[in-house]
Amino acid sequence: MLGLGADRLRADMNRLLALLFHQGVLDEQFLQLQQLQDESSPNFVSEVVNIYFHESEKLLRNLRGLLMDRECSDYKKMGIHLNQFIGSSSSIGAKRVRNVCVAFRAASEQNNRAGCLRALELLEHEYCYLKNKMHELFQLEQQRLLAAGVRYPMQN
Amino acid sequence: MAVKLQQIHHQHHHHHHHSVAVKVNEQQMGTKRGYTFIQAHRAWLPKFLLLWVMLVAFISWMIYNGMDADNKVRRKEVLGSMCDQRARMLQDQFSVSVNHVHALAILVSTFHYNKNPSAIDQETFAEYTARTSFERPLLSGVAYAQRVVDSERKEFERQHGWTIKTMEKERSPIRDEYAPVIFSQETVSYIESLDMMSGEEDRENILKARATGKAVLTSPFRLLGSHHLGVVLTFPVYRSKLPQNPTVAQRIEASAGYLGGAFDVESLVENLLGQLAGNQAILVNVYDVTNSSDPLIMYGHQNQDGDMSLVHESKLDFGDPFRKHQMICRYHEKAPTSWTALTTAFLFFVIGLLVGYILYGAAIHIVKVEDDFHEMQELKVRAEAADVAKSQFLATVSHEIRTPMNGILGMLALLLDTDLSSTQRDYAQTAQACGKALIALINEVLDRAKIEAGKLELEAVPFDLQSILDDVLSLFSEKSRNKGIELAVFVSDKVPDIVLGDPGRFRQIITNLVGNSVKFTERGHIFVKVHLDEHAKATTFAKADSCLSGGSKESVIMSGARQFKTLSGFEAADDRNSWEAFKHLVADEEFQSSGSLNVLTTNEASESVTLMVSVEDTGIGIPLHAQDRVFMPFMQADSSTSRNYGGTGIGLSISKCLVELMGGHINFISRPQVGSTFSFTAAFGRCKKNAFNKMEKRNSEDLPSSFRGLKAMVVDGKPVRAAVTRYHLKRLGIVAEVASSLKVAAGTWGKNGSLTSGGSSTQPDIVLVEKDSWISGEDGCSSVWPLDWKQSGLVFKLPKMILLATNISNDEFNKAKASGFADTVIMKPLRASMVAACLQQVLGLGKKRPQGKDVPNGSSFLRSLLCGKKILVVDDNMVNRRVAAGALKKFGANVECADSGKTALKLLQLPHSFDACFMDIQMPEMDGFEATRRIRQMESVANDQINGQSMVEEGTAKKGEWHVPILAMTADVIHATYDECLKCGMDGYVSKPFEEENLYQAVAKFFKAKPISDS
Repeated sequence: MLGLGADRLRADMNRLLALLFHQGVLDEQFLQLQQLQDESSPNFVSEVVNIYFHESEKLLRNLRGLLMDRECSDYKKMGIHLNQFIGSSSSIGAKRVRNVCVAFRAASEQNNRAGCLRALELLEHEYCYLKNKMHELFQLEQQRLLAAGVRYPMQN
Repeated sequence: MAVKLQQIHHQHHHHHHHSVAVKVNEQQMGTKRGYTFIQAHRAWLPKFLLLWVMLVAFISWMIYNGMDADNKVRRKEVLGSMCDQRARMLQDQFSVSVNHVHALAILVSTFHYNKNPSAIDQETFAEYTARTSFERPLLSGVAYAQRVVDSERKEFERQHGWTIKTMEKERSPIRDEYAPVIFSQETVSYIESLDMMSGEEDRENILKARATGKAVLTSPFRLLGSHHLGVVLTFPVYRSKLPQNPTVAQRIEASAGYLGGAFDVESLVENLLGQLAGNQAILVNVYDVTNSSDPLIMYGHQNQDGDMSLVHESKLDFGDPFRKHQMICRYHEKAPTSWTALTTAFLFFVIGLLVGYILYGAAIHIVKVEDDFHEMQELKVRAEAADVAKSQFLATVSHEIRTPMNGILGMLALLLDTDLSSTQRDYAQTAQACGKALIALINEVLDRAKIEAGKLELEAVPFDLQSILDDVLSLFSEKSRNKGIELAVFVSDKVPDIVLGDPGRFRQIITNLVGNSVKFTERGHIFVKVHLDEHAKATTFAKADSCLSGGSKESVIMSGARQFKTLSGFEAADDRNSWEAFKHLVADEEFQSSGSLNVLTTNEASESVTLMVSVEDTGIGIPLHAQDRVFMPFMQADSSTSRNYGGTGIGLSISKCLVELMGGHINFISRPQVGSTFSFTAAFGRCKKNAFNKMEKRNSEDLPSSFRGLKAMVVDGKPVRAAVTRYHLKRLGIVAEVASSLKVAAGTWGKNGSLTSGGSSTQPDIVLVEKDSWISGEDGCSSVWPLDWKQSGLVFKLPKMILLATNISNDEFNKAKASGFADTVIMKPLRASMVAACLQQVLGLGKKRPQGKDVPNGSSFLRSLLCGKKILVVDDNMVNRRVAAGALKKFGANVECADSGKTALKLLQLPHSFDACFMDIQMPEMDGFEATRRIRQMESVANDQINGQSMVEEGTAKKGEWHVPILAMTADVIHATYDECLKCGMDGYVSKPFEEENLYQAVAKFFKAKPISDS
């Protein structure tokens, strides 16, 4: 019974992942990341993703702060932040967030404040979506692990 | 905002004016240049006309004069000849009469004086003269006067019995000599006995006549009888024969008498003229001009009527040396006006006038037309300027609208994230959708304006065609899935993976075409196909071939419904994508890839590659009447189209422009209610070899290579669709076979499975079943074949069963699960990356199973290369650091991290134990380049210290001693970056995020020797 539940959860996860791939929220890099997770580092993915979220929120805060500073938006600094964001997003395979960041960077390079604002909105939106979905995924993963927990060592 | 807008408006306005002014200037220059002769001298035209008329008038006057002069000359000649003729005749007649009188004189001399007694008396003379008067028609009568000297007078008077009388019939006074008439013709008998010498003029005549011996004439006078003008002719009669050349004295001595006759000149001339033609036409006067100052008229009227302008004088010689006569002729009437000349001249004038008028009219017309032309040109220039201004305005305004619109959209997105009631959410979503549509429209308008203004320039960057197609497909996957349309893409193997071009614009075209197709298609499929242009030609031939071999192949009657061998089985407008044609393409490709290498090399040698992209749908098609304006901006099939489907109709015109910019052309085949196929060609550049390799790395980075060597079975009744599936699998390195149905598939496997007990060589690892095939085969077989497998004892090697579906309901999903498709369902449209993700999901879970052999060797090599190595990862980004570390750790490396260049420098202070360093390039404070430079500096200093030897050995020493391999980690793989990496002393670079193969290639350079010792 438990194993069956794990299977179902696995299928659900797969479907969720498939959906995220379809939507372009994630790309293959995420799978790479998953492959890096093994016995030696069982929580690798969630660890990395959590770091990502932590960092990203900091970056987003900074970006918003920079942009809201009406007088002089420091586009150069913004660019540095965005580069970071792009780097980390592509590392975990958050494709859509990364794309929005690229657009954001382009806007900031042109000192296009309105474009930046729009990109920021979009970025926040995408980021929220990603975060929600990832949480969902991790919850499923956790449930699956719980469900499969009994079997896990046996397979080993 | 308002101020800004105004400013822009002002700017725009200003610019508009400026450009128009410039245009007008140009235009003026242009017209100046374009003026013709006529245009330049337009003011002269009426003067030219006047001049011309005058010239024509003058010429016609000349013509008239010329012709008139001719006439006059002729007239004069006629007059002259007539006059001369008359004069000659008169003279002849006259001399005949004179001759006769001469003969009479000789008669008198012979018979009166030489006979004795005289043979002539009055009676004889009268009779003779009367009977011979016809000989002298001009003489009214002749008489003979005898010379009587005064001494003989008495004797003479006595002999004749009458006294000599004077002209006044009185007794003659005594004179020296007398000349009394003794014989006379009856007509002049009244002058008998009159002394001819009593008249002054007669006497003179007589004296002259006897002196010369010739006929002598008097001046004209009125004759006694007829009162006609006449002259008297006097002829001397000599008594004896005169000696040769007698002197005057001898003549006087010898003269015996005088024969006289009265010439009736008037009747003479009248008779004469009466005999001649043209008598009425001319007027003849005869004058005695002995005294030239006072001509005496002999004939004709004294009063001068008739044409005085033209006179001809002819000399008359009546044989009298003392008198001169002349005949003057003139025309009776004035010269008639010469109608011919007049008409000719007039006609010439009229013609000249007409010609002049026509020329003038033509010139005026030309001037007018040219004026109109210039005006049109000016208008055209203005219109063009206005058009440009319009485009600029559109661009500006669009841009200005876009900015606030983005704000609105962003806010809406934020709003949607908040807690909203369903109605509010609905409103907000509607607003967002509208806003997005507006932005899309504005972007299109902007694009079009840009293209029209010629400002759009295409990039030429290397890009991955297939991934763009995948992206576009994923964009529409949601929509198509909802509609139940199959969406598929197929790229021919011969198309290079990476081409040089403008990916954005290419994507735009594809998006537009596919978007249209999705919009207008309710059933069936949308199929995007990319192949080489030359290839397309080949397949067209093949198609013709297949048509020849059997037209009925096109469709197969399947359970009453017509099934077409297209992607979804629906009929398509253009049968180029049907299986008949398609299989040639696929077969051709297989031949190519399996066989001749040289073909490929020659293909790659060429600089550019022309791709043919076709987008086929089975939608409502384009009505025939609208087909010719499909590519015109803002045109849609009809107004109802935009009502039903929305859109501005600008997309296709933009696509056309873009395609043309890419050096291709776009066209379409469409059949209403059947579908449309848009195809376009575009020229792309081939990548150069090194760039190509690099891109390939990146490309393969997207698609995991872990599936290489897997075998798959595609079960699909529709060959085109199967080929598409196979194509996607092939991209992942999976070799796929196609079976038309589950039964066939099960059959082949069953056989194989039983034959080769292991089944490892031919048994597929994955079975992909099309939903249609599954449903149609479901009833009988679904449970049958897994049973089969189980029976043959191959349970543990069960291939993964994957269902391919466009859309699937929950019921179906459960059913599928129940009948063996537990593994996964791949939702179409297929994309290589998505398929890869799903497969990874499916296969990855079974990682623990003996998949090791299937894992590509790169991974294991990496493990052997990196195992036990101590590696420093430098990255300011915590996530990246963690991921990189994780990846490296996975391959057994011992990883340490540094979060900045400075920390790295500290860690790499010599001596250290790191085998390699992965360095992020973009870091705050000290970037990767700078850090590397410093590390290298440090190392060279240390090396110098250690070696401290000759310069020669330094080169080798450097390499032998401190040199930690530093690899750059970068997200952008631009060539320039790579160059810079090398320049500052790095040894290579890996793309970020890590990809096995890429990492392997980079690392293999440095750890080549070591793995052998390690392993």
